Amino acid sequence: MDVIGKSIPRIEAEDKVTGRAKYTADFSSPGMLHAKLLTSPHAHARIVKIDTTEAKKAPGVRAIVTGQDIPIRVGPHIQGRPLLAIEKVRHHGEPVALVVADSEYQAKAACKMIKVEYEAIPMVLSAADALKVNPSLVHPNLASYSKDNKVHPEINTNVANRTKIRKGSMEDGWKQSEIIVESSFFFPQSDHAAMETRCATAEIFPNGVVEILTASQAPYDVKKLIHDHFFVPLEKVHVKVPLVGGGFGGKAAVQLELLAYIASRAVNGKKVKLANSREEDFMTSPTHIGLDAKVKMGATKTGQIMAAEITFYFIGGAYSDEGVDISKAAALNCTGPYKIDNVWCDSLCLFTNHTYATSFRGYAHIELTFPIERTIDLMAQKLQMDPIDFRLKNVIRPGDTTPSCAELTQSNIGDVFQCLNRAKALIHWEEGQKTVVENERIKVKGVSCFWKTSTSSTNASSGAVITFNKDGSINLSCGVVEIGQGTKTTLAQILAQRFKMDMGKIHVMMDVNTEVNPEHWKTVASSSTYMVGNAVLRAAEDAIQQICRLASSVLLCNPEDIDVAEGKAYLKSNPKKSLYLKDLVHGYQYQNGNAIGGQVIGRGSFIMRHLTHIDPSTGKGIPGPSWTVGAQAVEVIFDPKTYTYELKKAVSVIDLGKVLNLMGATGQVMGGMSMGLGFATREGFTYNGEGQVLDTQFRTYKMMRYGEQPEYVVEFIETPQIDGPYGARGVGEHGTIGIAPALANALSLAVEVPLNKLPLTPETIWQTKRGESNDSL
Amino acid sequence: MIPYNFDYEKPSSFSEAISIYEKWEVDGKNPIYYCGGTEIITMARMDQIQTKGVIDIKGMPECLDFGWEKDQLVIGAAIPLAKLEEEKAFPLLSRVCNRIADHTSRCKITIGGNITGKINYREAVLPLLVADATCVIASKTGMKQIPIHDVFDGKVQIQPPEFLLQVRVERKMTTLPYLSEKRTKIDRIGYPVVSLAAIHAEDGIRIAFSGLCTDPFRSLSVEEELNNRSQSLESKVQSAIEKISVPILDDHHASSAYRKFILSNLLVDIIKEFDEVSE
Amino acid sequence: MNRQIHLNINGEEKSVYIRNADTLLTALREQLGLTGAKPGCENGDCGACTVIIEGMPQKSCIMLAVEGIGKQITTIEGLNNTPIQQAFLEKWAFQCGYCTSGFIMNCHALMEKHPDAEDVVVENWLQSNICRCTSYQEIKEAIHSVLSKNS
Repeated sequence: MDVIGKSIPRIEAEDKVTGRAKYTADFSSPGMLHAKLLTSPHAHARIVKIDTTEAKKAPGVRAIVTGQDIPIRVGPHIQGRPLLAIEKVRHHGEPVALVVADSEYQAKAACKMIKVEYEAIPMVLSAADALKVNPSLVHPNLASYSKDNKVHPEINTNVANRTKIRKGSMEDGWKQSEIIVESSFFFPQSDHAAMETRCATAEIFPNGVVEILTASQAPYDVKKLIHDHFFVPLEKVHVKVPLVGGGFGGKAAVQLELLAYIASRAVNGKKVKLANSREEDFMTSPTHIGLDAKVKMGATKTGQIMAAEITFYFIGGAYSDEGVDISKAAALNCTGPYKIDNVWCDSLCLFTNHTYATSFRGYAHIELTFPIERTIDLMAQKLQMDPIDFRLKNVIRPGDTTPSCAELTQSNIGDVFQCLNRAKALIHWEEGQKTVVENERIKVKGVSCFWKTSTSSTNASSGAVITFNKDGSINLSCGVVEIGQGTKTTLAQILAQRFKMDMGKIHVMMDVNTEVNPEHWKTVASSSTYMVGNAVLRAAEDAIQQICRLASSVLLCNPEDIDVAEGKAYLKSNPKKSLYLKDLVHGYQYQNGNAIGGQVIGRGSFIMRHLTHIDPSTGKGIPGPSWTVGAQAVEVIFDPKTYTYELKKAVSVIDLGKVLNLMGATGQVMGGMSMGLGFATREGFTYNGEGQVLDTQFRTYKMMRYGEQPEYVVEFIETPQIDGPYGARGVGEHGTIGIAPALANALSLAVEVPLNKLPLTPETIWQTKRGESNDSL
Repeated sequence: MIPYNFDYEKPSSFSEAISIYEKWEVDGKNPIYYCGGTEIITMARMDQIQTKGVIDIKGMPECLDFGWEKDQLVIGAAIPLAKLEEEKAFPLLSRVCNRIADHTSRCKITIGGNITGKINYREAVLPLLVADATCVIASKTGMKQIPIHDVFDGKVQIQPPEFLLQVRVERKMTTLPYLSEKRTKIDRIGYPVVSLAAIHAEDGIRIAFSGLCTDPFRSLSVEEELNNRSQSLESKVQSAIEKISVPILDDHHASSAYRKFILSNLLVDIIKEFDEVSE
Repeated sequence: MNRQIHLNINGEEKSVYIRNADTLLTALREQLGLTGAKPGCENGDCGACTVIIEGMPQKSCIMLAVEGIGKQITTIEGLNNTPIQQAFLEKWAFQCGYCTSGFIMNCHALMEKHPDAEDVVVENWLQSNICRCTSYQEIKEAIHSVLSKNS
């Protein structure tokens, strides 16, 4: 009956291979109206005039809304983003007006008929633009926005947030450093590019109930924001989320839901659907943040890292959204999994005239890992040490502290040393890091370590409720969204394991409905298994206690004398003396008709513990309950003649505490590596001189395709996280994190010049080799 | 989703198509001929094409012809690229088609649509340029055959209501040694940074390019340099590149310097390979 | 503006009200409730809307519904317990499931046409679809398991 660790197929699998699985855009109903957005062609411009006269007369049009009709500003940390542009537009693709019509094509046709007059404003299109003296300001009224106390925007600048890490003494650190390396790094904004574009429908009922159907990772945030901004009582906001076609952090941001609500409100509460086209999903909805970074690192001649000075300039785009928090998370974990006693870091999130950024798989860690792991390789090179030996000498261990001075234990840090050693074996490091193969091509290998913590709200919480059917089978209700990560299957396993019950007897409600499911913070940060898994275990415990209490009255013993397994409650001392769960969970009935007990309903909840706010002057604080660590390696064959390369092999070894579902976890990591390779090799927005995004379709926004994948090798180390369910740590994002630096480390060796910019297209490598690199800072 | 409406007809003869076109033009419908339609749909949804009348030419037998007529390979305008890729009647064309868009799209994209389209690349035209193909054009007076070099000047110059019905290639052109290469920004599926198709005819190398400049082209003066036996390999390639009279593209797919780098590598390879064949 | 046409879908004759400008994808999803074909780009770039027409894979977003008249159209809903669906299950060849219908339709057409396809053919066909969740290794294992069974 052991199901933990087994590769239990995902429970919604059959629906997905038959086309029956339903996603938000698959739901429609007769009479439903459609909304479409008119978006800005400019990156930064004042709106002089909007004329909707002609558009209002267009066939099928029922309402048109512009920014002045909704004078509110939203945002998770700084409330600076209007739902529809007010006074000015700050990025190409920003929503300017919304048209509601009988059909989508009519709404779109009417959008074209809206006349908008713009007046250009100087643009901020790079970190350098944002930081120059007397810059053009993306938010001149920054001081007037409401904000939470965790962010520190700098008024009259383009700095949306600054986080400082001051650990140890830099003076001592540099004094003890005999070798110093210093370099700059860059990657542009890119995208989540989930295959399902974002979509939401809204309907407002006469009794005031607002019903939202959305492709969201954060349904409870949607509920809260509808309440906060439109004063709808919380109990009247019902948010439903069916299966979601990929999230990767991009669907944790709340955007279309609020616009759909506005659209419905404009047509007297009728149901309205708002679906992004791919182009809108790229340039109107939030993206993956870009980064300019500088790292200076010092070490002794024997290879001990003594000091690191790190500056991150995050290219946050037009609005702060989660960018400000990502920049904070990057600071708190800025060194990667290495013991460095003297650390100085300033991490800035900058306002620019790009699409605004939000959470992306790896939340600050994919970003910080690229500059750090490149620097580690540059240092090893300068020390003439093997890059793996150098890492092994410096990896963080229990007893060390993080840059934010959080204390590490075996339970919360795991074993990065072992991960790296195993990765070294799996990539066959002993063959040599660089060899010449057929046709004068060069086979090279690169490695990277990584860590990742959740950066959760300090009071993030989850709940789980279990009820029973009359045959003794179990229903699980929780607020986790199924975005492809398979958490609901894992939760069912956790429940089955606790009840020592067959998986087939566990039913998990697949959709989320905030009206009935207990709240879960949001489905992000690879934390659902940890948080909801713990809540589920507690719900199971609660139900089992109720069952044992009831069974003890029937079996005439104490509740402690009873255990539950295989659909029965039995006497531990004599398992043959047992009762079927089905005869207990809806109350026990004696032969004479008397009944006792009643329905068993298991309740479980979980709240983050011991997390703290961050000291604004030193960065001290505890950002997450644990760090998942790992090591990755990439092998490529580079052709020095054409500057092309072939991905041969990619390895990940991750300490996830305890494997709950082997194929599930392996698939998460392999998919993450694939996304990491996409990010490293080809993804990234380019812009024209007007700040317009050029890559708004998959024709030029390149994605990994079938056949380009290397051989993937994934292994796990299991150092239990004591407070994780069955010792498990989360593992959704981690495969993505260290791939880009591992590849850049390998290719830098092949080309014999440092490759510190992403994506690594043949042309950028060729240009770097020719010395054409133009650092933006 | 296409944000406007249009009329749609699928005539069964080209004369019917032409009369529909003329009528719709008078009616102000701004009619367009529709073959594979992939480009029209993708441009229409982005509002880059406006029309109130779509004339689908896949219903007329001439457009669906595919096969040998004496010593001529006849390819109807409505033949999908995937079919040309698979049938290999003209191996160079098969190879070039294999690299246009992706396989499923090629089941829909037609040769007529590709070479007369608005997209810059129109790679299917490259083998036709080097093979001196003939275009069969539907006109009010019937079908007329015109050498491709007389209709193709960067773009296919056919004035509606006339339209392309077929292309024809001489058998001897389909049996010559050939090479084609395509380089993209990074992967296999994508717009060409440089795409070229070449054959080795009796008079030497013939070569046509796409992705390099705004429009596809074949240049006799480039070929002359490549076939200049008195020059070394490197200087042949260098002078050939210098003979390209239109600006080499410099855009977000690739810089012009990088395009030249790729091009010179490819030309060297091609000359070497052809030399091996002819030895 | 709207007109009635008849389409043969999954072996059944269906009447559908469409605009001439409607794509087949729109007709399938909005008129027939066949939502297995997904809009991922509506531009012919991602393959999530792939259906099979006369034995060949077609992206239903770059085909007008009127072009489907008189053709045999098969959607994912028309497949029942085929080897490739089973293989996708066994090899964990999907996560979020959004691209899955399109991938399966393309694979199914490939198997029917080239039951013993070599790697280069498989690659040529399957590069037409994008999957963002998996690593493609899983999909490769799925299609290979089916091809080798057949040969």
